[in-house]
Amino acid sequence: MKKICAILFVVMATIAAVAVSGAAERPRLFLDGVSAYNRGAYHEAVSAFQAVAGSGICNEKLFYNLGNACLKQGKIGYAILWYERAFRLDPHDPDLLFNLDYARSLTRDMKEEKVNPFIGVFFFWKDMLGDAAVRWTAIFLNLCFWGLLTAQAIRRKRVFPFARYCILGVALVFLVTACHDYYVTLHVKTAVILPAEVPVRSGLADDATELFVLHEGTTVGIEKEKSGYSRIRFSRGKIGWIKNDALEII
Amino acid sequence: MMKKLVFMLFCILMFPAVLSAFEITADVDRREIEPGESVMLSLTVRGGEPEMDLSVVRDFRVVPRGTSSSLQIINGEVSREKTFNYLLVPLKDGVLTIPALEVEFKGRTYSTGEISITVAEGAPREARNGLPPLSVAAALSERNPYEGEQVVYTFTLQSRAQYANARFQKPRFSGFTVKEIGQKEPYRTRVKGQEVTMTELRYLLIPLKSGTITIEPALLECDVATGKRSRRTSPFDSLFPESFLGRSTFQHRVFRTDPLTVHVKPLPRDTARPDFSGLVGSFTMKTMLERDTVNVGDSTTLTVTIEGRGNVMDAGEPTVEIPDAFKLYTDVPQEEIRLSEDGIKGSKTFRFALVATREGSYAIAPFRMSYFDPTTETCRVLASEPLSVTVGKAAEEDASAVFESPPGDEGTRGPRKSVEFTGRDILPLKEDLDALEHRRSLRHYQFAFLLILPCLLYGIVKILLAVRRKNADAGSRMVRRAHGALKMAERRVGRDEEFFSCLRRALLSIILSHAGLQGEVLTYDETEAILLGGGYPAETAKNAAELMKNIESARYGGRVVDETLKKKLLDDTQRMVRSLTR
Repeated sequence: MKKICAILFVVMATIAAVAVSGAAERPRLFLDGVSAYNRGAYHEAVSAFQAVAGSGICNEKLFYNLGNACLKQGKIGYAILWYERAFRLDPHDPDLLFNLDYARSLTRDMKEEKVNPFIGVFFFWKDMLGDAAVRWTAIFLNLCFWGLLTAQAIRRKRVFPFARYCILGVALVFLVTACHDYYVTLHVKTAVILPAEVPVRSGLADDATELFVLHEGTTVGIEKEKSGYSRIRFSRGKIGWIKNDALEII
Repeated sequence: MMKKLVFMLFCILMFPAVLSAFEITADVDRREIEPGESVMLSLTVRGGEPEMDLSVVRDFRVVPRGTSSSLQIINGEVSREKTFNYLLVPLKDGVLTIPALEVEFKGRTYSTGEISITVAEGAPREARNGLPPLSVAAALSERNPYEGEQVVYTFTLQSRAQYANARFQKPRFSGFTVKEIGQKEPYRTRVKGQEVTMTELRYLLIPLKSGTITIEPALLECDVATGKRSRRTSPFDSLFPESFLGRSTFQHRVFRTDPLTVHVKPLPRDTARPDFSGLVGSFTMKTMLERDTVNVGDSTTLTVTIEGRGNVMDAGEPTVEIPDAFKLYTDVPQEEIRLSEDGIKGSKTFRFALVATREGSYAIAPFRMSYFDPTTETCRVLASEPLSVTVGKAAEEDASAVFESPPGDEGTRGPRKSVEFTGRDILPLKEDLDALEHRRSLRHYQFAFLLILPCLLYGIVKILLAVRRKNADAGSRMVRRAHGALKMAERRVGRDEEFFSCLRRALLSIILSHAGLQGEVLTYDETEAILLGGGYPAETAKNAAELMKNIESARYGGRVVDETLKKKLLDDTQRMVRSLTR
């Protein structure tokens, strides 16, 4: 029994030591990346930031820095990929929006599908608040609605009936928006083209007919994956197959 | 009749996929074709919609030509049929094969039969008879380029007949970087004594590696006017040209160029030197220092511009050795690339900001960069001119001078203008360590749990309340009944039967409420026992039993009860109910 306890203690101590050393390593790597970026060694900066991101850190500022380093390195595709990842975490950062716009201006393929402006008008709260705020608002309003119902059940008397229905209405709007966001996150995959030029083909083979060509930094929708290829959708009617290594999902 | 139709429609809409077995067949419109002709392949699928994959067809270029669907109801059985059409353009002459095409559907594999197509050898039929109405050709500006040297690929369409709905499919250009130069303005010329229109499309190719590369045929699909539609002639025919009347018949044709072989030569050995930039072509280098005299803390910009014909966009950043007295900041290089008929021309500009940190005179050593010139087949060197910078003391008074407003009237400053960007760059890094905080987003299952939680809590509260009320209900209901009966007794003083009945019910109910029971009958002993069990003194229990006895004897005794007794019983019952109500 004592032996088992000793072994368990050693294993747990080792795990804790590795975790602590990993956590201590990150600031050093991050500062190395910043320093490399500031002296123009962008390749080193990318490696350092990627090492931090690879350790499981998901942070919009880290992704923004990776986007900057990739852009300075001339890798527009990777830059847009990291900026888009940062954008998903913080869609309101003005620095990020500025740099993302700049990176997009360097791409060669013009976006063919325009977002319906009415969607922005009717679902203004989505752009205004961001995904996290919409979700927490839905949870809070839902809590208020059920709280009022519970108070009514305890007091055996109607409690703020009008306010309750108003809260229910607004909660449903936020709930539907949050569910839509989750659906998009889980099922609608978007990817960025990484090589300078990629042929989009009609089938799953290198010698299948080339339908059109996309360039680095272009964002496409992923419809399905099969045998190392992805069926992408660039715009209405522009669909085809691309090798998986030519793109990366945001 | 209407109901049957609606029912059939419902069945068709609801159960389209399950009513017929899966089947796939392949068919072609012709088995023997001339060079330059194509075959239409139709794949017909019944009972499902599988994913079609024609990557196994190697002898033909496959061009999708759309799909068509149909629905059939035969003897009440519904079957859905979908046809996938493909245009197959032969890539060589002889007997070509369309292999068996396999599709997977619901875990099973189905396949079509193999089809052989014979393509006659030799030149196309029209070419054998003289100048064809349409012909295509491809050519390269250089068949033996060096690796990285730009080559112009020209596709030429020679036409002397009308054509419509042209679709061009360029080769894949594997092994090259490709840029489209564009279409040259069509021009007319004479070939074999006949006037023809020449249309040219050009692509700029840069070989990525040395070796032999084959550029596959380019395809042009179009409808070619072949003859005239037979119709009755009329006296007005001579007034209008054939095309105006639309009397020409069109035939769909596919033309392909011959494949081209390119022998890409490797770069010579002397390009292995460390200062080789990777540029192939003809280039010049210019260097310029913004200011050669600066103060400590001031900056000056060193500009290096590489200009010329060739892959100038691939130019790497020159290695500039700056004295220690300067800090160096590199800007994003700017490219100005122009694509002309000769290939890529342009410039790439590198800018370095030098910030002086110490006083003194400093020289910036010349830096070198070499490139390969394929015209002379030699490696040439670009070298910068020697530059020098003098750094003076920091000018402290500058700070106050900078913010002085310019003299003169407000009106002389000129009209206001919108602020425009004068340079392009990205905003800097975010250097704070909060970039290392892991952002946890709310997962969908956590979100669902947090939504359901208040609902569950509400349900639990409702259940608890229901249980509590169920336990408390019998007692409280009996208390309510006791008070109700008492009020009724006060109103029914004139009617003996009802009055005594109400008094009895009031007393009985208040006593039963202490036992948490409902009922209509209670013995005197039970009355005493309940109240004693409820913690009341023995005297109260005895009084209650006595009161019950008095009420029942007044009710069932058969004698006339006077008003005084009735009043006394009512008062006693009211007191007892009040004292027994908790």
